[in-house]
Amino acid sequence: MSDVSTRNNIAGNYASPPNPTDLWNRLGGSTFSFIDCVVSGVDGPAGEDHDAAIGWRVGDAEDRPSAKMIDLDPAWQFSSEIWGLEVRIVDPSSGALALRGQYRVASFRDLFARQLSAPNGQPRGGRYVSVVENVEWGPAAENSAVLRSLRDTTEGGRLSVCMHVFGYWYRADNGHYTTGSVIGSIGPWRSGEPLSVVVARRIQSFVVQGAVIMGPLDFELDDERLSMDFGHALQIADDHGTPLSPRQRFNDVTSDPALGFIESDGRFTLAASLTVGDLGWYRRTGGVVSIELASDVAARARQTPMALGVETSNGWVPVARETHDGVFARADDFVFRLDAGATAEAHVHVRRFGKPIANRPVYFDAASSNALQSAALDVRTDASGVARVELASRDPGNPRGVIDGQIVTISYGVRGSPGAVDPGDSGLDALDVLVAHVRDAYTIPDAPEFHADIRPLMQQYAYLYPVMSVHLFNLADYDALVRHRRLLIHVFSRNIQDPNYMPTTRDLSEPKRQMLLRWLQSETGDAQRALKIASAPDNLAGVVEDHIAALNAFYAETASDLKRGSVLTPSSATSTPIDADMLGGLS
Amino acid sequence: MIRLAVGLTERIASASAAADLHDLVQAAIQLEFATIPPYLTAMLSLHPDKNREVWSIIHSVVVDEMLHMSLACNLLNAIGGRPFIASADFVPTYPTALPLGIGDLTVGLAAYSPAVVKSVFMQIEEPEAPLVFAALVQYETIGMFYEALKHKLMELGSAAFMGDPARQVSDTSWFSSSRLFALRTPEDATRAIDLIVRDGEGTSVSPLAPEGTLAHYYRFQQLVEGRRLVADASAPNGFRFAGAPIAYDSAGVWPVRANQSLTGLDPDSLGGRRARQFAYVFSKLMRALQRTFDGEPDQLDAAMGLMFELKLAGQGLVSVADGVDDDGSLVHLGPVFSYVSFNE
Repeated sequence: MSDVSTRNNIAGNYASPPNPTDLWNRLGGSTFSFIDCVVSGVDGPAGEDHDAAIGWRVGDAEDRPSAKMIDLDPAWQFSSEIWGLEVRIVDPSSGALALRGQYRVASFRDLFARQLSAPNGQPRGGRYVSVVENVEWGPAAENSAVLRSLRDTTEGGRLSVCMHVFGYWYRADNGHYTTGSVIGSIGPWRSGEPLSVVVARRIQSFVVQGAVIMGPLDFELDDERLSMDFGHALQIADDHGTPLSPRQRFNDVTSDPALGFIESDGRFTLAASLTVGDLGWYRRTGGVVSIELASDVAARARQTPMALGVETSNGWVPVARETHDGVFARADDFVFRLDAGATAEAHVHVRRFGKPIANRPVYFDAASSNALQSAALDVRTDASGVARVELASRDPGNPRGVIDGQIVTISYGVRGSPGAVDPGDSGLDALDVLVAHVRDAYTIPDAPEFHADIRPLMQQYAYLYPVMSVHLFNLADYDALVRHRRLLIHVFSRNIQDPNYMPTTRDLSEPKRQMLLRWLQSETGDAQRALKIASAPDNLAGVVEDHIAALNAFYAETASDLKRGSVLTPSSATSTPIDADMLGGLS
Repeated sequence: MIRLAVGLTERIASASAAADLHDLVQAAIQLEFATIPPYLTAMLSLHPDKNREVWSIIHSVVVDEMLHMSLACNLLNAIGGRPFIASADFVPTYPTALPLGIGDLTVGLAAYSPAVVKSVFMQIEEPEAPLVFAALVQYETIGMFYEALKHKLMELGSAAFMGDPARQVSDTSWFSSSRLFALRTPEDATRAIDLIVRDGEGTSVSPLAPEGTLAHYYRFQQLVEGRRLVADASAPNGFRFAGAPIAYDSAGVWPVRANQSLTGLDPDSLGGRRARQFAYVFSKLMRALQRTFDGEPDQLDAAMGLMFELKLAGQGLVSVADGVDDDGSLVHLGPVFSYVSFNE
């Protein structure tokens, strides 16, 4: 389930209230949750495909608020991330825990239109690669040979996890609404591996007249054993994920894609046949295929780019290949949230034929705005094949008015030259850039005021997330904020990893968050002090109503005044003169 | 008024050790909790943009009941017991007689109406009359139950309060310290029990709860009378339902199905999915409460977060129409308080 909130997809909505023409899920609460997910297959250390864990439930936290799926910004909706997700595997027959861990925040990648027929409304699918951290093993793990093996081989208290998400439903009139499908796999993680991406060998997309027929295929050659992940690459026929081979799409193609080499004259030499299975296969294997190569083929494969080919009436033709030199480079974490002046470090992993290469230059373009800058446009990989570059941010100067900060991107790659990255023959797509939301600089006022400081900020959240004002309370209403002060201090003080962290979109800069807390924390007790207004607002009647409401809240909280019969109503505003002192400085 | 089975106060009076009281306090926890789903259902049935005042009044009672449940859990922990919350046995299947009750009051899950307030909510919170003359005691009251508990705990003394103080829940993020506090001594227990009783019933001479707000019974009565209860020196008991009118729009209520269950719901329908989502979030809340009151007081944050999530899940549910009932009128889905392990 991914009940994304959609008003913040449109920049104009930051300054306008909800209306009937809003996008399809304006009351979304951003909840992400596993529904009916199970362990659907295993690939054990000795190749076994049976295990006690098959059928065990894969779920999220059983006793915590739900995880949240959010975008970075309306100007960058291509990096949806899942925050605050706990992954659990449980044996449902006993209720015993097998394992539990915290899913590390990562953006999806490799987005493409996988689904040929999409009555659900969304033909695209994406791929999440991340790790589950602080893994705890429970008693049920003892009963699963594969889980015990996983426990014994994984490192760093982590597990590697990959989720292919597709088949998302936009239609509102059935139980699928805001849900989609996920097929994935969990395996060991090893020290030195990146955290949010697989950087191994990659066969690039198979494209016909601009349409992607198969997405990129990551693979690994270990001695003579070749493992390849079709899980995200294959097109699918429906929202369940029924795989489609190119053989099913093109009359002239008579085989599933096969592995081989492209000779200097352009011919395809077959090295190993592959079989694309059905939906059951996809669920049992996650789309991961493992084959043994003949030793001479393996030897050649270790130092020669591989390719995919299909058999046609003209014989075998190549349809997709690794880069010409077998080099593949990709950034680990590539999404950054930076307050003005903050820095971050990007890591680009570079491999050749799957092996890290040292001293290889990675080039960066100049950033799309000077609010962000990489320390260099040419950075060499270290001994483990990682190029590290510092990103430094500057105040963007509020170019977007009501929307804080600016989205800045930096392209990178191993081709081209410093400042002129060539994206060709890279295995990357147009979304493979470093992207940052750089926040506007902000000085925290010593004494934040409701109308000058709080209302503009909270009004925006009220506009963007009507689920709050419709179902909880109006975020832009003074009375509501004062009444729910303790709650607001609590949610705005959470650790950003906490599923309850507010704002859900994690787009509030730290100084603005501190300002909000400073105001909320100053609201204790003294209702008069709380009502001081820095400048005369436009809507004086509204201010008076706010004032009455705040006084009512004050009286309700300090009690004992029922006996005085002094509960005020807005209509008494005219008969009860407002003391000028209460309005503090209105001239 | 909640009428309890005869013999409970006798059992309390004849207890010789704290352990003898454990199952009775567990039953009190269940009782405090069992009133919440009916109140919550009524709240959820109110359209979000209408009937806000009605909603606020019921909400204030729900908050108090959660507090009472928390204090009762603190009490059980303080006397060496352990609350059991996260199980299918904890929440009754509605409609139901209340835990400890003799079965003459059935509470169910229903859409809001002044009639429901009068016939159910006020019955739950009704104070006993100050003086009851009866030759044969056919029932005991919750007031008598708590009174007996109070006296027994004072009698057993501090020796009964051997529970680990670290299990006490007293976080001031959500409740003020005058309302949610650790129980370490018989005097603390007396204070907590008095708060619980007075919040619900007021006293024999005043409709006010300890903090000066109205006791639940009178808060609800305002909804039936349609006006706020305000101090009035000229009125017989010093109070009169002569305050501001409480706006109520009977068209602003979703016609939620009474005592909704998951059975019979088409699993592929929007309503079926939302009902199961509600049950899942509710169950997560039960488990968070279990941890909170079972040695991890810092989990209260998770529980409070889940209460908000439950509210959102509930709103998503009651807005879904689900056919018509026997007399042909439109019915919406109601909240389902089922205990489930997984999201389905």
